[in-house]
Order: sequence, then structure tokens, then C-alpha cells
Amino acid sequence: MTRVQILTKTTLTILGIYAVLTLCNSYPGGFMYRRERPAIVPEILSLSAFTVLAALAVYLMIFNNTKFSKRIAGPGEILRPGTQRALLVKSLRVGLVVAGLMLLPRSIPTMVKIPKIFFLIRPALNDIIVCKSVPDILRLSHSEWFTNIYGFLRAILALYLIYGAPRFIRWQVKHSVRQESNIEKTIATKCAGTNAERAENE
Amino acid sequence: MNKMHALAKIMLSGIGIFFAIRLIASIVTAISLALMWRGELPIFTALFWTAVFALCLAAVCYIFIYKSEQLAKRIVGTDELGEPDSPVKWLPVAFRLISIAAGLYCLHTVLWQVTNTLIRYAMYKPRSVPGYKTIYTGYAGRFLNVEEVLVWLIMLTIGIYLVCGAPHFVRWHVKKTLEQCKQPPEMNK
Repeated sequence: MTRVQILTKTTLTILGIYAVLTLCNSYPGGFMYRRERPAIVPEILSLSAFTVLAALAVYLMIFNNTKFSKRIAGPGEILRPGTQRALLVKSLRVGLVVAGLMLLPRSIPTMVKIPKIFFLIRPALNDIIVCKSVPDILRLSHSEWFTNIYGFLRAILALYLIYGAPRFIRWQVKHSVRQESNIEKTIATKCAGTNAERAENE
Repeated sequence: MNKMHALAKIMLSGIGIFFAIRLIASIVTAISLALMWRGELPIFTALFWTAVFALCLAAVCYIFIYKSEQLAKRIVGTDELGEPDSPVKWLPVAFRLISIAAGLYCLHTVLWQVTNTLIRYAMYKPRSVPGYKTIYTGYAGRFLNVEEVLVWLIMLTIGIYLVCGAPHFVRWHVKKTLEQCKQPPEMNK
């Protein structure tokens, strides 16, 4: 991998995370604070479209970004394996901390709400067990449930990214090295095939 | 193509992908709104906006991704630019810069939220329009709640700490990053 390709890979990974968050944020069921329910079939279709797009973003920009990064970066001086690994770790760490810090201000209100849940659990349980009724804190519309769950997951993601996402980086480095070696093997096989053909023709 | 061109190309492609993501999300949102909330967004309006977003998407992809090399050359200038020296200890500097940028973003968010609340409070007229109270549910009757003030204080503290360079945070991250770099590659295991 070249230096530029490593930086491109990092940029693509961060943009992949951003794409998933943007798609979740854009889902109409999520941002509309309404009580009445929309039609079921269009909602399922819409949810499927958003899920497919998010899965595509994860696959192309996080999981399988080597070919895309090569195309963007172009040719260049290939670094030694040790330098490659070190640069990939450093750039990914810096990039993911940036992403985490950018998510933090929006996640703080959710983080503040989390301790409040512990004070509401007892009255809620009392309502369910003794009064046999659904407590007010659980009487939410589907969009409010979606927004709350999304906010909670985003807060966890922000904390994990600020922590440096060590496991994700380790996986990404390992995966990148494996992908790179696979691509090199494919190229070597193709070159060997072409050379053999040339030799036969001559 | 020197390093500056390469970096400019990456940044331009990144910007292109960033806007492409937003536009794709907007297209799907417009279609979903038209299908799910009939009457809220008429189908022709949805189609019009879908066409507009699709055109913008095509333009963004063409300019920022397909023609990124030419654009990078135009922005950076001649090819004879000197190579920027590769800093040996760029990691602490990068983390410090990030901290300052994030701190500014945090402070900007606090400022925006405080201003927004103050403006809403100033504009709040309980008996002016029927149903007005429903629009400003969060602010009707209670101007400030403890939770909101707590959020602002936490954000303000974090923002000031980050703007100051977050020395402990930077040191801890540099240490952890270097430790991770020194770890043996798992592929060899």
C-alpha cells in the first residue's frame, strides 16, 4: 500500500461510519415526532431501502475499501509492510477519534438521560406488576422509540470511537493486509498467465 | 503528481463522497415521505426533488470523484511545488489539532443551543395563537430545566478542556497508539 492509499482508506472508513449515521438520521420514521402510524407496506419498503443502503455503505467503504482506495489514490511508492501497518494504525486512530469527538456534542444529552432511567425503573415496574398497566415512559410512538434507540447507539459509538476503537483498528489492519495480499496474488497470477501466453506465441 | 496533489485529490474525493451520501439519503427520504405520509409531500413534488437531487448527485460525482485529478491540479498549481517535510512526530500535533477543532465545535454547539433557547423564550407568547403551546411543548411553562442546564455545563467543560489542547487526552492517545503500532501483526500468528 502507498501512503496516499492508506490515507484514502482511513477517509473512506470514516465516511462509511458517517454514511450509516446519516442514513439512520434521514429515515422518515426517525425524525417525525408523530403519534399516528403511516401505512405499513411503504414503511417496510422505506426501512428496507435504508437498510440496504447502509449495508452497501458498510460493505464498500469499511469492509471492502481496498480497491476503491487504490482507484482514488493512484500509483505511488509502496511502503514497507512495517511502515504500512504503523501508518494505517496511526491514521485510523486519528480519524476515528475525530469522528468520535464530532459525535460527542449530540450524544451528551443522551448520556445525561441514561442515569435518569435508573430512577424511573422502579415506578415503571410497579405500574406493570401491581397496576397491570403500561407505564408512561414506555408509551412512545414508533418514531420516538426509533429516535431513542438511535440516540443510545450513537452515544455508545461516540464513546467507543473516542476511546480509540482498538479492536476495530486491529481488525481493519488485519483485513487490509489480507485484502492487499489477495490482490497482489491475483495480479501475480494474471501476469504469470500473460507471460506464459506470450512465451507460447513466441 | 506530488504529495500535495495526492492529498488534494483525496480531500476532493472525500468531499464528493460526503455530499453524495447526503444527496442519496435526501433522495430516499423524499421518496419515502411521499409514500409514507400521503398529503404531507405530494408525489409530483417528491419526483421533482428526486430529479433535482439526482442531478446534483451526478454533478458532484462528476466534478469531485471523476474529475478530481484535474481539479486538484487546478487548486494546488504547478507540479514543481516542493514536497512538504514529513514530520517525524506528527501524531501529538495531529491529536492536539483535533482536540482544538472538536473543542471549538463543542463550544459552537453550546452557544447555538443557548441562543436558540433564549430566542424561543423571547418569542414565546402563551395566549397569542391557539395551539402555540403544542408547538413549543418543551418550552411552554418551563424555561429552563435542570437536565438542559446540566447538558450545557458538561458540553462547556468538555469544550474548554479540548480547546486548551486536552494534554492528558492527547498524551494517553499517543501512548496507546504507539503501543498498538508496536504490537506484532496478528497475521503472523
